[in-house]
Amino acid sequence: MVETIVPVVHGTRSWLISLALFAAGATGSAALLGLLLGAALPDGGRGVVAAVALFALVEAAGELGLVQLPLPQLRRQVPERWRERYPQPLAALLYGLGLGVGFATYLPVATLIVVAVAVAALLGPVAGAVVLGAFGLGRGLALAAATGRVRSIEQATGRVEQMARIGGRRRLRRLNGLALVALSVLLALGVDTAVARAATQLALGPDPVADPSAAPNVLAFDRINPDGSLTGVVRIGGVFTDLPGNNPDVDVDGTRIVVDVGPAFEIIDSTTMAVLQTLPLVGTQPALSGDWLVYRHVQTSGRQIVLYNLTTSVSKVIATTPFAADLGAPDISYPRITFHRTGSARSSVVMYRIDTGTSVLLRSSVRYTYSNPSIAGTVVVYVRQTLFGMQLYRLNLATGSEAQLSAIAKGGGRFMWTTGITGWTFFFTIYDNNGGSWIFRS
Amino acid sequence: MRHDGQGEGLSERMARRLAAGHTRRGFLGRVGAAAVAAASGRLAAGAVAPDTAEAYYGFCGHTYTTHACPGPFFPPRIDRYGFPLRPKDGRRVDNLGRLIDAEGFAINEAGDRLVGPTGDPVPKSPRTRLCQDWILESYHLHARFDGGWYRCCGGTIRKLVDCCAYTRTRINGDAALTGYCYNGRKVFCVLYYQTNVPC
Repeated sequence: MVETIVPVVHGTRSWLISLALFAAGATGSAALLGLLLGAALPDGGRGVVAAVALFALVEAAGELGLVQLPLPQLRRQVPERWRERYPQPLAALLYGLGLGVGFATYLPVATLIVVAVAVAALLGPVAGAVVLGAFGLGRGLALAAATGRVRSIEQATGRVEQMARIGGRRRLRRLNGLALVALSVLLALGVDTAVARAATQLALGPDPVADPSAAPNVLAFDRINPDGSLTGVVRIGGVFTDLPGNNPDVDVDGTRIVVDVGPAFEIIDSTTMAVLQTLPLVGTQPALSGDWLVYRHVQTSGRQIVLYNLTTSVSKVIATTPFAADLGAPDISYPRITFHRTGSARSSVVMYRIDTGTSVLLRSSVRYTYSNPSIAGTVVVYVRQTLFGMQLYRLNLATGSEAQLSAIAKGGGRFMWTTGITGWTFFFTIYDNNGGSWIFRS
Repeated sequence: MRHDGQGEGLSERMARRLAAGHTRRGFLGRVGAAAVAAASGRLAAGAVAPDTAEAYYGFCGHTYTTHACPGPFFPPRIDRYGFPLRPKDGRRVDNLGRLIDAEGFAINEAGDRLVGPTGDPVPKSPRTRLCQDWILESYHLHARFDGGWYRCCGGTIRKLVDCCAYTRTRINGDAALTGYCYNGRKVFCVLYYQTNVPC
């Protein structure tokens, strides 16, 4: 094929045209493959990134000769008859289309397989088209390098043999193996910052909804009734059940739910819906974790966050602010409690530890506004509002890493509200000025 | 009343575009920006990128090149202490540009608190000094007010306030000017204070 396109056969002008058509064909078919692969699967989260990193490492081991791995390839070359049957430019285009797909002929190395898997598992169609399109373009550049300034057929043949020798050398595969190792390391480093970029709006009925709280297979939230009142609802296994109060919060394991019934908080068994405990506590927005309940309370002196031990019935005020400051709804995942505190001088995401009795500012700013944090284990999700819009962030307390999960630009008429979290699944409320309010999962 | 998004006025956006689109040598652009600025009654035209360093800004006959300090509005209007105000009427706003009540919670034009979908007030935002507090957090510079320029604007004296710091680079990204700064400080960015002094 290469010898067909060299300039000595049809002249420099035809060579340039053929080269351009070959590159266009290879880039186009490779981009199309990337488009299809990228659209085949939804964008993966951290687990998928880790799996692709492991796959790259395994293939690297194959390239380095440590293990024997099969290559998914067709052991054949592009049809030779095309160059006899069609004019050279058309043949070059067809060759480009065929070779751009990559898997339709011999594959000397495993890199393309890893890239194709990564595109399918981690990228969308547009990004996939760009990545594999670059592979096709690379094939065009390789052809240009192989046929450029060739003065004779013999020189062309020699150039092809030289390239074959380079391709067949062990060091090329070693180099390729090292590149795959580097790719694997990069992906592994990026695991913690990986996010599923597409947030999904949950189908939770025709009425506006807000205030998600989640555990595995359990989602509780507030339904906003036409008169503006709130009704707590829990969805377990696809079944919706109204709760006797509002502002529901699910315990970490999903077995119990606490709701605000007005004069008291009630803890409900999520399986039987039986009231397990009624707590005559004055406050709002309760959150539950094991033996601990935390809620907002208003005193004559200001706002408070109160921690209550369900076993000993002992209360403790863990945060206090004057009325001019904003003390947000708390969330709890023993031994940690998070809430936002915003005064005139600073806005912060605060974390209180029950076991040590200490508080730290997880995030704090004199410019931005932090609000509505939720916590599960060592992962915190919160909303940040800047001059440019609102963003949902995830903070991993174990590693200190942070990633943006979703964002709303300013001026679109939509705003973020409360959040929820279970494991590595994140929930958040978005509302608009027309009475709409929805819960999304990221 | 739900959340109130804040936006720039049309004339302000036009002024920004004009200023962003011309250079030091672009006389027509400069005149255009000044004209729009004058017509809008606003300070003038700010450019963010790419040639911010070469952009001109101006108000009421005064032309300058240092870009405005960051803030909820462009250009940032401040009270005597440096806290943000809404440019069109001088009402107090928080760092997100929302009108606020006496306790600092966001309100609408009628004075009612903004609430979210469940009826609770939207989260409060801080209200901090644009020069002293914002610049410290954003640029790690201990900035302060020094001198300024005075012009007659809309019937009262307007002061273009120099936000000064010990820095060789101004907010534009190029060399900072001494301006009306003292003790070796240089102008990092500018704001304005509209007085009630008639002129």
